[in-house]
Amino acid sequence: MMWFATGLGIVAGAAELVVIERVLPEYPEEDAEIECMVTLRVTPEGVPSAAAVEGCDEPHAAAAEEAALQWRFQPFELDGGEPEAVFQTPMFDLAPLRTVPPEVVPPSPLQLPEPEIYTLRPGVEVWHVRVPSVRKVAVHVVMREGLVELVGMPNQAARATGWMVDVAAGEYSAPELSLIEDLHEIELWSRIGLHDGSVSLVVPREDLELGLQLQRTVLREPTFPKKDLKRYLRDQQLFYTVNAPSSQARVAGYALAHAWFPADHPYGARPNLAELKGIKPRTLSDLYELWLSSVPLTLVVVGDLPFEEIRAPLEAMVEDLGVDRPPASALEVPLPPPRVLAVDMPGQSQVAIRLRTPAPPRGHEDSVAMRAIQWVLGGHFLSRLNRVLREERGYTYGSGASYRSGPTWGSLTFSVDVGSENLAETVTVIQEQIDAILEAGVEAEELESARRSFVQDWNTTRQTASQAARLYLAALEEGVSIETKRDRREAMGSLAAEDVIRVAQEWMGPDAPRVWVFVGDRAKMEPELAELGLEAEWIDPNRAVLGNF
Amino acid sequence: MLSWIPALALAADGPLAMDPRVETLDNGLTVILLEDHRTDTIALHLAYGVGARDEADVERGSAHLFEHLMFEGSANVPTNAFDEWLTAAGGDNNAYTSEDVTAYHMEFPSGALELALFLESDRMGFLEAGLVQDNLENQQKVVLQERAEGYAEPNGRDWDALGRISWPADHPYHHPVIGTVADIEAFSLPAVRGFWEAHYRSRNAVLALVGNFETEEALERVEHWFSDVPDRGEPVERDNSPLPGGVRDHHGMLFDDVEERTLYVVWETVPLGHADEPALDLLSQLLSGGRGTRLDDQLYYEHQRTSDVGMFTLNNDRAGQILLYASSPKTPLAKVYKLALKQIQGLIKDPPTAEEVARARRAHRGWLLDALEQPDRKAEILVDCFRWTQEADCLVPRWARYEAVTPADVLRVAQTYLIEQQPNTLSVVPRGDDGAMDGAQLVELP
Repeated sequence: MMWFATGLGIVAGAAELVVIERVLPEYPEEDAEIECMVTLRVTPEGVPSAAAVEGCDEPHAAAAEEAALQWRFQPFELDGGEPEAVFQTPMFDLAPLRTVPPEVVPPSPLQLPEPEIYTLRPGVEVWHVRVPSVRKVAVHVVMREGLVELVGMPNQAARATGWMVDVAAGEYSAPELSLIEDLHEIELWSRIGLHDGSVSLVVPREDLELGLQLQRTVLREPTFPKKDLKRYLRDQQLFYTVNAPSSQARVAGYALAHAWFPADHPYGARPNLAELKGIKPRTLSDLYELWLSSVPLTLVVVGDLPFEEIRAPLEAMVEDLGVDRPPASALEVPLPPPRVLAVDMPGQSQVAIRLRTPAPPRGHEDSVAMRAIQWVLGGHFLSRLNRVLREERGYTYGSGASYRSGPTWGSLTFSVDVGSENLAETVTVIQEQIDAILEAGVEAEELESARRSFVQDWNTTRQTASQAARLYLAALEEGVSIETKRDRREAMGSLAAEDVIRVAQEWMGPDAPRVWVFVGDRAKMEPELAELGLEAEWIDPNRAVLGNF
Repeated sequence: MLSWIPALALAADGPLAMDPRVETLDNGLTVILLEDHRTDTIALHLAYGVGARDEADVERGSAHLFEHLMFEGSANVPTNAFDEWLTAAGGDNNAYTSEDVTAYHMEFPSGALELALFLESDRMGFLEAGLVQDNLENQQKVVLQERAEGYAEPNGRDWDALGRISWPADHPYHHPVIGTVADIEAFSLPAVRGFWEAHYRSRNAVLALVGNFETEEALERVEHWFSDVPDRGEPVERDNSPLPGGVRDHHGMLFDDVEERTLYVVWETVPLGHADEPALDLLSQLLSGGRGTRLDDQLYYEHQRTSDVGMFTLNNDRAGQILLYASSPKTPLAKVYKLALKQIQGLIKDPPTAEEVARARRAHRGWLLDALEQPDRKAEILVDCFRWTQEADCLVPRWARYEAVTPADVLRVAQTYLIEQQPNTLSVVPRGDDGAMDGAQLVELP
């Protein structure tokens, strides 16, 4: 049975009545379908003076009357010469349901298929994943080694090489390539990372053949035009010297990253502006040839199509490519020393606060518990940090925590922007919230909430080919099965508070190094830092961005 | 390269037809349902027909404030429980406010549909319980901080300044959606309650659900939860009286903590649904849709006179704009302006080609088709379609209007709205810099 609004509301005596307090009757639960119609007389002060009940018997009529008399309305002006307003409302078959939130059926992670793996030749594998009902096809040619293997210490030339592969190729000038891509809704792009890179294609199914032809040309015959290289290098220069240093958020991000990875470690390579000036197209084409000819390849294909349909063009694309050896391993990274960095940006009213602590590497047995800690402290609107800093104190528009990890390292980063006058209190709250985790872990309800959220995230991965491909690329990079990734989401549900405390103590405890970064107006920040007893190293925004500290 | 150019007429419009179920409850709430069983999730999008344009002078910022207050509890949902319960179910949600609309959206596992409907219906029907002084004061602080954080970012004040220079003070789009500091500090509980009572009515709302459910069953559950939402009658009639014309030929400037100069050029165009809207959309894409388009090539890719350039249309319910922006660390903005205008005026001598229009059209169609693969974006499209046309399934006729645009149409709208009109400009430059447009006047942002 359902109630509709017909008959609900004003009958006489006022243009409008606004309910400000609404008490529901306590019917016996099994009688939830009972409907009583209550007519209330309401004084101009908004208080009911009498109630009449129709349409139901005792004890429901008495319960409905008792509840209705406790309703309160906004004071109002009488009209039509009536002594009181008359208001009618159903009482209320739905009431028992509204008094408690409805039950939720917990989500289960969908069974996503493992990729079908084909070996085109030694050194070239294909991961093929068929996802029904997606419009596009994603084809990623993944180079299984990246900057570190290519040049040892990542430099600007190697970075430019990886990012410029997709600009122009073979007979296609950059504008021609761009035009064809746009006319057929083809997305082609390249990237290079520390230990991998890719030339990637996303294309509507009906233009797959054309897309693959272009991808083949881009992969095998990139031309690195001089004019585009010049533009790329100018953009890099501009970003590091002009755009990044003017944003508190970017300055904070760079300062934190540079403080975490040493300058002499490949993961901590600093931007080298002097080097930007001497890079020639020839340097890039030589580096690219070396890169492409020396790495194992894995092709990840995701779309609503059988493998046989794409096998021949893939074979043509990677003909003679691919080196038959396992990809190189990641490098060990030392933990950084504890540090307090403060960046002076005069005139700013806000301060960007960041804190980074160590966290388990990717796939480590502690990573599930760390993911839970991240979620509980700063992973959603009502995380513990937001609850205090936003909802209770109104200090911030939003705070967050992020857990990043690689094969050999991990970090947990807290981020919040507040008015400078709230710096000290905010830092104190962050410390208190970390201490609470170290002492008491997290609640079972929080863990279940985290589990469900991660399952929901997992369950949306089949909406588009691009979304699904991201999951399989992550599994490839990590070297784990889809089932393993799925199980990790579920594992959150079987953690206990003690597990979380142990992991928190291990990675974020008193002995773990912490790196604080504060970006704002020095004059406003100094008294706040002094109140906290924090002695900061002061640097300017340009040094922060370039890692020159 | 001509062999690569596809036939301009694209396939039939099958993929753009959505075929949703549309119902109206007795309390006037419009409900749109569309099944999508590809994933085990449901997207909910609920829009109220209230935005900053509906605010009286003493209510400035109120529409956006509700984007916060709607999460602070209602009769049967304690403070903070909205997020807490939805998050605990694996769901996620957010909201946005514009000049014309306030929209609330969620995505959740299908097993949480009942909870989502309960939460959404409770705050639609019974929010008064959460409209209390403590919640108001706290959200005032949060909104002030939201504003401060936005203003602290480089170019964070540009948008509000553009509203001020583009529209006269009595125009509904003149004022910043978030409000000024004084507006936000002036919120009072009776005024806030009055605003909710006037605008947050079931007859002023459109609800869409897209995802893993059976339509009949889901409709029954929507009726179950929303049918006791009181029908508070027709919403306050929106002001549709004739608007004052937009400002013309005004040149404003801001000093900011930036290292680059940025120029905005704004022309007044047409409101949503106007016959020229598709041609204007394609014009902006044709001029600045990436490499190989006129503005992008001349200002950035080929000649690198700026570090950034872009152009887009802004079509609101009552008025529209086309907006160009470009940044440069050194080039005087008067020169950037001249270069940009040269490209636009060049359309007369060198009119848009069929290929350029096809390219722009394909980008637009791709954007629509990509959106339809994602339940959350599809739900938003259904609601917006209904708001604009009273038909939830509006993409097929909408696309037909884009298909019908010819190169001559694009040239005509370029002439009518851009070439023959004096635009307004906003120069945003580093403090103390002299690179702004000649004669630009400082914009005061209260």
